[in-house]
Amino acid sequence: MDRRTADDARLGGLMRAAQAGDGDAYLALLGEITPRVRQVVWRRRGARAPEAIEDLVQDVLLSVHVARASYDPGRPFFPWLLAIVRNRLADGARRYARHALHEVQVDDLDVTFAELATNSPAEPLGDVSALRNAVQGAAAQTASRDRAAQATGIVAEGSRGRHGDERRRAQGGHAPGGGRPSPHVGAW
Amino acid sequence: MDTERLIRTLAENVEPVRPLSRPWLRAIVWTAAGAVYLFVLVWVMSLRDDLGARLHDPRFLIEQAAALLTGVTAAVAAFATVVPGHRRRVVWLPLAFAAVWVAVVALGALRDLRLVATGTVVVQADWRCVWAILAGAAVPAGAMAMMLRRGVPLTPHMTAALGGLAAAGLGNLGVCLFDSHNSNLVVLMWHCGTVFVVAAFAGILGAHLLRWPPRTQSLSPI
Repeated sequence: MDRRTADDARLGGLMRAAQAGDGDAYLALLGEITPRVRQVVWRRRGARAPEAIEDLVQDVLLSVHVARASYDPGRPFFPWLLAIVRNRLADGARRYARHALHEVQVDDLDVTFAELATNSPAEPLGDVSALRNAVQGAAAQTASRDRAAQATGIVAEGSRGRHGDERRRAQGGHAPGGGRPSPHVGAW
Repeated sequence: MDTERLIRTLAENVEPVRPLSRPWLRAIVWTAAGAVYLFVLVWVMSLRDDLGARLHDPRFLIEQAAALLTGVTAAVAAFATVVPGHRRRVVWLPLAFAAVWVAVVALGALRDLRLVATGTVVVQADWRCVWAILAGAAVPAGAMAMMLRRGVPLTPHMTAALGGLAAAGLGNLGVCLFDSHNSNLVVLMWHCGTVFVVAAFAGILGAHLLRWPPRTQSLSPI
């Protein structure tokens, strides 16, 4: 009898005792098969993190526990064990693939705040006169559009939305839902 | 939980379990239970009038023996597939008997085809046989599912297909004892067809019928 066959017979005997409810035999059996299972899992799923490997090993041990009634003491032990290991590995790979399919890798996810910083009061205002001219121009354009709208009775869609926002901005307000809030307004 | 602790927990809580019997022994038990059910079914429906004459027809006997062996070997194969590490060669056995069964019926159907051409035999849909086979297979199929769930269905599709083949094969045998047909074409299409459709359907649903580990027995440490 070679070493492998002797091992198989010994583990088969331990499983037979475990089927009869012998806790010590079961402890010895699980202790003996765990490094072997770990080796098989490592060989087949070596690219995974050590925690994932250990998860698979534990999954196999739990499966062995659930399936222990299906072991036929008259048959070799290792083919029985390896069939369970293969099944759990395949199942683990399917679960992993399902997870990976619905997972989006994000390097740094903002939890509360957008990463973009708010305006700082220390920022230079830039060319004030150019800004004033632009605001006056926009205001004049809006006023003439309003006059035309009153004359025709038609209100352009944009005048309630984007152009309305422009007008409010020109008057020093903030567009609802648009633009970044000033640090001076609604501080919280 | 670390693995060492898990091992200790499992060992401390291990309970005695009754090992599964050998697949062929389980198949004999299942076939015997199915035979009792079929006996009752045939008794209720009453035997076909020409059964005495047909029992002297070697072709009929070979056909029924092949159908019965298809069912029984499919049951053996189904029970073998729920034992992890069991030899898979046993799966080919029911397929061999099924091939013999279909071949015998198909040869008769080829002969009948000429009679259909001359108008001597009329082939028509036989839904009654389909329902009778399904009724004959229902109880054996339920018993088969319960017995298979005691094992470890690592290949649920194959196991369920074999279980379906076994149950429908047994159901077909019962129907052949109380229902007569004037053409093998009908037997080929409506008997063989139903048996293989049932097997295919069971195979498709295999993962749902034979989930392992079952939800009620989830893999959580005690």
